[in-house]
Amino acid sequence: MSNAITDGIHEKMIKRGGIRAELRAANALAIKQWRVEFSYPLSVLYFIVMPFLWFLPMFLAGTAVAGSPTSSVFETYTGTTDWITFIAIGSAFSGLAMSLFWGTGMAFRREQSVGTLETLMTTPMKRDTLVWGTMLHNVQHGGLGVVLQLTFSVLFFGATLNLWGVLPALGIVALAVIGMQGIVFAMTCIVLLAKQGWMIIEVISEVFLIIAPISYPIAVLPPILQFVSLGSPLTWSVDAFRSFLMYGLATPAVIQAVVSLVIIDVLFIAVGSLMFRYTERYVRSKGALEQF
Amino acid sequence: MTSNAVEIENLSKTFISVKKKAIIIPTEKKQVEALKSVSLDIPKGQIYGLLGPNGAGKTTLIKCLATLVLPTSGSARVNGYDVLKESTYARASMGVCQGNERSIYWKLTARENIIFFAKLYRMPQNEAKERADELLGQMGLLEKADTKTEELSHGMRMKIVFARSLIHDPPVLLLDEPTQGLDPTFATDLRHYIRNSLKTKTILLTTHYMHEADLLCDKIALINEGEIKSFGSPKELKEDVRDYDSIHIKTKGNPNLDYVRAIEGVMSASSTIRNGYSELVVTAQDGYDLAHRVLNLIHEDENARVEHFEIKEPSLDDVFLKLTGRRIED
Amino acid sequence: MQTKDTSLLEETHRQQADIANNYLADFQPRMMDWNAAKIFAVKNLRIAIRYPTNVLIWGLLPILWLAPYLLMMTAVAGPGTSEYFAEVSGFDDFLKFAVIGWFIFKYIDASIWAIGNNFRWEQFSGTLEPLFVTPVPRISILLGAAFSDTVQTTLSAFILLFTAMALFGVTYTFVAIGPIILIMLLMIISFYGFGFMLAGMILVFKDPSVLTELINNAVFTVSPITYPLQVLPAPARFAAYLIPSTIAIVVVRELAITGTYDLFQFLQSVGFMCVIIVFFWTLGIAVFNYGEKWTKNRGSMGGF
Repeated sequence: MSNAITDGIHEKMIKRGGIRAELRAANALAIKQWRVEFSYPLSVLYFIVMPFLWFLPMFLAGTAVAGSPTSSVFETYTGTTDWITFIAIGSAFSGLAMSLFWGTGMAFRREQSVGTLETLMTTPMKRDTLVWGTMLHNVQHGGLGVVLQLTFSVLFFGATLNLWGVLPALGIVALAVIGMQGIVFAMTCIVLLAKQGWMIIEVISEVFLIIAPISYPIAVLPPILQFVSLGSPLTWSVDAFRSFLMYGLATPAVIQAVVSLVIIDVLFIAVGSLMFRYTERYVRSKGALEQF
Repeated sequence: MTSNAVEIENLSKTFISVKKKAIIIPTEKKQVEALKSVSLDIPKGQIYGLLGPNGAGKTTLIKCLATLVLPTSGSARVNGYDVLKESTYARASMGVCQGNERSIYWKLTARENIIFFAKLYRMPQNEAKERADELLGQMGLLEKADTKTEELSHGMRMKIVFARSLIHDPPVLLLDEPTQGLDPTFATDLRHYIRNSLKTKTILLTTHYMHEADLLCDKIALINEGEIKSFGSPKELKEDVRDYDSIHIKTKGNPNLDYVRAIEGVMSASSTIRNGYSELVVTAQDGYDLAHRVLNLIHEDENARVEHFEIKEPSLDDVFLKLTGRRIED
Repeated sequence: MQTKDTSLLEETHRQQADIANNYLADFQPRMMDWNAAKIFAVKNLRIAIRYPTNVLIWGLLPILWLAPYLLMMTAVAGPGTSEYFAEVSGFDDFLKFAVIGWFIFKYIDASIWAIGNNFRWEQFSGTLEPLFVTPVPRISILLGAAFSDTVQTTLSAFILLFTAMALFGVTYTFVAIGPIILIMLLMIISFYGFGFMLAGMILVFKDPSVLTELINNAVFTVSPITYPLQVLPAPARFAAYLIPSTIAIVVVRELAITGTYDLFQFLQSVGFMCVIIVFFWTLGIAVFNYGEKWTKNRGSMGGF
């Protein structure tokens, strides 16, 4: 061990604060997660095959009852007979949502079980940057999954996409991520507070997925759930995302969806961040960061 | 601006654990006072040690400073920043090394680990790379820089953990049992590095090892049941509990004990014969002062020849035992 | 006094030495230690009883996975039935069809997650290495885990079945209970072999969550759980018959919905299930032994 040559490293770091520093930290977290994931040899295979395996049983179940790629019953609910495209887009989007809910919601637990949580907490990044950084990774991860799943659906299952709608659909993804991040902050609180938090996360994410129009329109839900569904960011984002990809720029009722989504985003992210801030302080006051 | 790098004022921490008696309430609350109004100032550039048995409150104190645990009352400043109100600046001012090899990512290489953490310390990619090479070089790990951490030895992992705490060249270092579980060579290397290469740093170190505290620390706080029981340099601490020194002299042949006893200041003198050698034990208020007179006397004695001698003073463990009735390694 | 104490001490030492000698003299390495399996199963069940909500949750959670399929099928074909479905599956009601499929899927899920990953769970709790230094064949430990999981899965599966029946308004004719139990038992036994095979693979591949997810999803996709085998392409249908549960699902579904089954076909199915049991137990034990040897050679047992 020899001597250090460290000219002003610390002073430079102090000067570098602000949003840029947090973004750099978030990006480092996202890249780190990719490296960890790809250090498992089977992960690459999993990453490619899973979107396919998620959609396939849905497609087969639909085929078993429809018998053809079109359904007139489906049209009465949704306005389109093309149930395959409808389900393919919804299912691809749900992959992104699951990736965010699970990947980000469990970030604290994962770092804790690896043993790195406390170390991350002693760095000068803001504490919610850990959640945002993991979210960034999961948007990349889940986003690639969406692309893969949609490609599979077009190539193998006969789904048709309107390419004019891709850019506005990406805008919807951006809006959706904000609202879902609010849910993720709330989930992180549960992970920090409850011992078997993953179970609660599983139930919450499944409930959000069930009440969202992912592989069916919300019209088939019982009336009470249809009403609850309108308060979920997932409902509006899946609908708008799919509308753009099916009908391009001529999407019906898109303004209503976007406005609703923005309002819900603001509400969810505000409540979620506040919950996270208080919970994180509470856990530190209990001194339980190591063994929550 | 104060000249203290770390200032701890009346810091207390009470943990409340709630135990459910049944599925529904009533619940039972249990309070544990991990820290009881601890105050400690560490001047810049000094190495202070926290010495105490398991559960004494050492790690809680380090965690309060590292902003990982919120204190119940009191305040603490690191590099002038309040750990509660300016926690980001406080974190930026310190490097924390917990003696836990799991605190880095085993699936990443040594270099990837350092670069990753460097970015959390706001460094751009190129600077992070340079810094990683520099630190790994200092730790003698450059050859293993691209090996996955899971494939390295425990000692090497601990060196990465230690290097990580130095990434941003922090003025303050909190080292929680840094050499725990290390093999003696690695531990000696690390102690040597702390003593010689980190001279400008202010260091708060917790340890179980008394010789480590003795070797590294300018001042030591003996901590037990959340309170600092005694504080001072290793020498001062030992002085405080030293009632007398004992001079142990091993001779070939038997020195005349009456002559030894006649020396002014000698409290007692006794000898035992073992394997043809005489083992003489002389006690005195100040062993260092008296030793040369006793040795001169024996030197003049034709019947005896000195083979070995040492002055035994109390160890830090003896100090701790006297203060608390417990041994540090209990 | 002194003499008496000494003789007592010597006597105790002698007895202890005798016990040790007898233990070692009687000790015979076994292929399968049934007693150890029983002890292990009891240990697992004892722990399970301390977390009673787990059984309930594992019974109710699958409803959240099943519901989207049923809602989607309803959206595509209208409530309850479709002509095409009746034609390919031979059943009118796809809700009735799917719920019983998911009931059996609980056992598939358990064999993959609980038996296949058992050593992983022991590793998480830090008890894997102490278990591995006992003079017990490791396959017996797995078998013990399998027993206890069957008990828990059965409870969860019935919670799932009854809740889903109430929720989706479906009923079954429980007249042919005997044949149903027989087929289910054969399926469970064959799943043990399947679980041993997975446990061996997980020892080698080290990355249990990914492997388990992949296998679980692949098995789910080719099994006639929510949809009949007829909608699968021919190679996938062939693959489906290599899974121990496929025949069981078909037979149990027929028995539970119609209450009858052709005797000859039933006996044929029982025969086929027996063949599958022999096949999977042989394969499972071989793969597990290979996996164990593989990790021992590389010294990676503790941290796989």
